[in-house]
Amino acid sequence: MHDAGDRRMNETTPDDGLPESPPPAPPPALPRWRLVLKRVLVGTAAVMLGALALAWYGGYSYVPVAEVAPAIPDPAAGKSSIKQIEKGLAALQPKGAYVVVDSAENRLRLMRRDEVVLEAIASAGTGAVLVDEATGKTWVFETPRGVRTVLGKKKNPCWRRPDWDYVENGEPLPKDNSDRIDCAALGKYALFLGDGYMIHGTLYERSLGMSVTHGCVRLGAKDLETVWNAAPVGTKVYLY
Amino acid sequence: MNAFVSRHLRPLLVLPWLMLVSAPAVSAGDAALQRQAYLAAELAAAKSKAFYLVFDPGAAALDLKIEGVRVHRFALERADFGRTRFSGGERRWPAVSYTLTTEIPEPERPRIEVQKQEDVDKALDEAIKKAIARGKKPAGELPETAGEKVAKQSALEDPDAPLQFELEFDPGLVLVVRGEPAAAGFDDYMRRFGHSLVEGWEGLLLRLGGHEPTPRIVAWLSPQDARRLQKALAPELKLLLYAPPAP
Repeated sequence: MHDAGDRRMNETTPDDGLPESPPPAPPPALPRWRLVLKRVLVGTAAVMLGALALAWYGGYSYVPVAEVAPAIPDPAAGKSSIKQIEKGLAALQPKGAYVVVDSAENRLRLMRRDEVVLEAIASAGTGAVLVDEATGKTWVFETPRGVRTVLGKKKNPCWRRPDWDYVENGEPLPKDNSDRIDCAALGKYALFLGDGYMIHGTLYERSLGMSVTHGCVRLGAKDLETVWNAAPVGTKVYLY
Repeated sequence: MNAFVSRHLRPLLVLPWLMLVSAPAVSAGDAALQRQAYLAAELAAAKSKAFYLVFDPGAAALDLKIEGVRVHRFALERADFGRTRFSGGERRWPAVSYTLTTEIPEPERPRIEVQKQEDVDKALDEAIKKAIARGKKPAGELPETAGEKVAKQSALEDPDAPLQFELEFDPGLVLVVRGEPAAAGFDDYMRRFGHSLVEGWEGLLLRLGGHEPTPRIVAWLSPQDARRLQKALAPELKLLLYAPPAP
């Protein structure tokens, strides 16, 4: 009896005699610009998510290099024993002092075995180009890279000024070759590396540490003396 | 119970012992082979009198060497080995020795301004020439040289500016050099995020084009070292994978 009464109370039929409730009003229509904006935003988000998903799917997965398995060597590739190869490598190493020139940082290191005997501030080539408008001749002032050997040494060296020095300074070429001799520019010592390249001193110690030379390696007076004393003819010079 | 243990479990107890005995023997043999292959490749590279690179995964370092002499060590902030998510199987280095195939572009060179004679201080120039003729160091401040002008111009370039380049090696390996400061700020993280997006799309496009993207090493180092490495590049530069001495 009680249940039946409750059920009746919850029923809203026309038979109840109550007035009919109006149908729910449709939600207010969005203005057109807001609808367009909404679609643009949803579309952009979908494209971005898609692009991210594609990038992830096509992308690389990384692990630290130490975790990668070593390559499988070809057993037929090496016939010599490890000791023989190590001996061959050791034979290539410089026996005494050697010189390493870092042209990018303008540094010269005097080395003996793996020990640094001297680290000096140097000057290497500018890497710049000089063009003689009159003749069209071009020079590139770069310190060579690779391995060279000290081919000769000279105390109180004189420099025979090449053509490019006159072109660079806007001076006419001298008629007499003896006018080209300059006995102050190279400092107290010069170590010849071939093709006109040298390790030498400079009047311009203020620019040590900068790439200002025409390809030679310049050192300050004190460091030059140390290198002069430690590097005999035949010393290897590695330039990079 | 005891009979069950002796019959079924005793062989299992022997198994770890067998693994202990056999595993080092196998890995030592492999390590010796690796070492031999690396040394043979290094000897060939050292005899070529050209620069070559040795990558040491254990030390996360890249050595620039010539004639077996290490001239510079590029300390890597981080180095990761990557391959596309499509690739299956074991992560393994493709080879011990690689040859650079990427063409090295000619660097942009500044041009030296020829000095105009009207700009020269005649009196100072005469004094310098006289001193030089006597083999003496000229007194006073010397005028600025053409080289100093070029160096000052180059010094205006920011040495800390990020630098990134990719080097392709044969057989299939790409070395991605990222000369960037350590990821510290939002900009750095966003840049790295940008790199991975570009990589992903590139990998996908390659795959769609029917090519298998090659494995790559991404090496992070200082912008200065990245510039130094770029300058040291030469055609057909060798890259060797270091193998330590066998234990």
